[in-house]
Amino acid sequence: MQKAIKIRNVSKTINAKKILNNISFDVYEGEIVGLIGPNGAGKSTLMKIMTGLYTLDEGEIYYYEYNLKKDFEKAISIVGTLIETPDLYKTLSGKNNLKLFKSMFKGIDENKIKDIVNIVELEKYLGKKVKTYSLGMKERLGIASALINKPKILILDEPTNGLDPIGIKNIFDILKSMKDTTIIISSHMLNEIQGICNKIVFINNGEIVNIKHIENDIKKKDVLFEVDDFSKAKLLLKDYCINEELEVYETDDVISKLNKELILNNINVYRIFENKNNLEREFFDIVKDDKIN
Amino acid sequence: MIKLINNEFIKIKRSKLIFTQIIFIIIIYIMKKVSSNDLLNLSYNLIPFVGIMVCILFGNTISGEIENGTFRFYLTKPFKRWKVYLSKFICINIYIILTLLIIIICTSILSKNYNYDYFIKYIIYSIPVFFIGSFVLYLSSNFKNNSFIVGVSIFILSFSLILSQVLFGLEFNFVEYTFLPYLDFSIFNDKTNLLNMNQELGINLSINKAIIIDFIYLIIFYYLGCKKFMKKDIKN
Repeated sequence: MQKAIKIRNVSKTINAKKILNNISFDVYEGEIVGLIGPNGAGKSTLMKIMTGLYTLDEGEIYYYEYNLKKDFEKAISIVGTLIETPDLYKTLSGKNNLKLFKSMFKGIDENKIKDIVNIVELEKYLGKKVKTYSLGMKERLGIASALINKPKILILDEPTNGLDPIGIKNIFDILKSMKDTTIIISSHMLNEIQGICNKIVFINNGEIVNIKHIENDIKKKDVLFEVDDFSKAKLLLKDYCINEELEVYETDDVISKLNKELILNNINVYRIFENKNNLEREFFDIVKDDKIN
Repeated sequence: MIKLINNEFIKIKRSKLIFTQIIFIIIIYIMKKVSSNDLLNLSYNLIPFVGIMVCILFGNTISGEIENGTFRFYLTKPFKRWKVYLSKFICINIYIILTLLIIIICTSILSKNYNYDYFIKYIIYSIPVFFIGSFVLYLSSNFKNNSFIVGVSIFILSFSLILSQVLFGLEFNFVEYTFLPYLDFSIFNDKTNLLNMNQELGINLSINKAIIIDFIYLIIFYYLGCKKFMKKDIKN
């Protein structure tokens, strides 16, 4: 598969403080990559560098064959961006906003606006002024504006900020429906991120602390056994437990085998919980380590 | 590039100040026509007014857009930063030219004076306004505070001559190579006075020198402003 984004040794210093330190990773065509990290970790800085809002001090970024620094216009013309709150002209209607965005790119068909509006489901409100829009509608219009140039790559920095659960679901549903677009997204909605991303990049203190490939882990489950004899069970599952609890991270076959083993050793298994918040756990592990340090 | 310049004009057109300024110029002309008919003199007196309008209208052209977040719109689109900066510079200069043209047309029509020499002299005397345009753009790319930018640029425009005379008095003759003595070309009207001042202070102020120095500083400030803008991080 072709690499859509190549990030190589990117560093950024602001006011003598190193915000990003030697960030490198690749994103393959069609992948959805989540950037996860606590506030101040450097996610937004990286995204602002990737969209041209911040200058690149050190390192290189490529969008396909285009170097962001050297071929800025070509590189950024295949990128759609939504950085935090969307930049919309409040006194113009949604349609006129999209027309204005369209005018910034060459060779965009007028029908493209209709297609995009269908994707973000804003048909009914397009004639109304943006100042009358709810936050969710503004975010959807922001995504529409990011899609106007048929981007091969979409960069979204916290696109669900301030949205209610329905608004969050709508945004993630839109992203899920975009099969051919390479997406890089940062969000604090860890469950949703886990649901749509192929890869998660954990950033903390300006450095990548882990890259997790969701596809490789998809067959494994994080489960917690509830039993009557904890110490005996703990001894039995000691090679599998991932923490002090009877929590294991294994495939269905292994979990079933462990369950049988517990029963054969006269341990009553009351319940097996599936913990769907792997990402949340890893996130808190990173933050916890940071706070201890 | 044309799209960027067009966008700049869309933003300016929204400003009520533009219409107020045009109406102000027309009213001033009508009043002057009724009272003394000395419209040529009025047109020269309006040059500093155009300079002040440039300071007020364009003082926030970069800093203001960074503050209200609209810059994110341009800088994440396929336009190189130097083009965005150049479009703003061109827009300021087009504004200056159009305003000066309104004044020249009003003067010519109302005074029935269609003198070519007047036209050339008026354009030459307006050169400091073009310099101020570049200076304001430079300040706007370097400082965040709009009031500070407008205040500094109007102060420089209004008091540069007094300031340079004070500095000449203190024998800081290098000031003749700065832009300070050349922001008001009316000093070149009284040639005897200029000659005396040159002899007295051991300097050589002339209109040719003024034109060259204003253009050199216009280019310097354009270059410095553009360089700063190209490296600026847009935080909002």
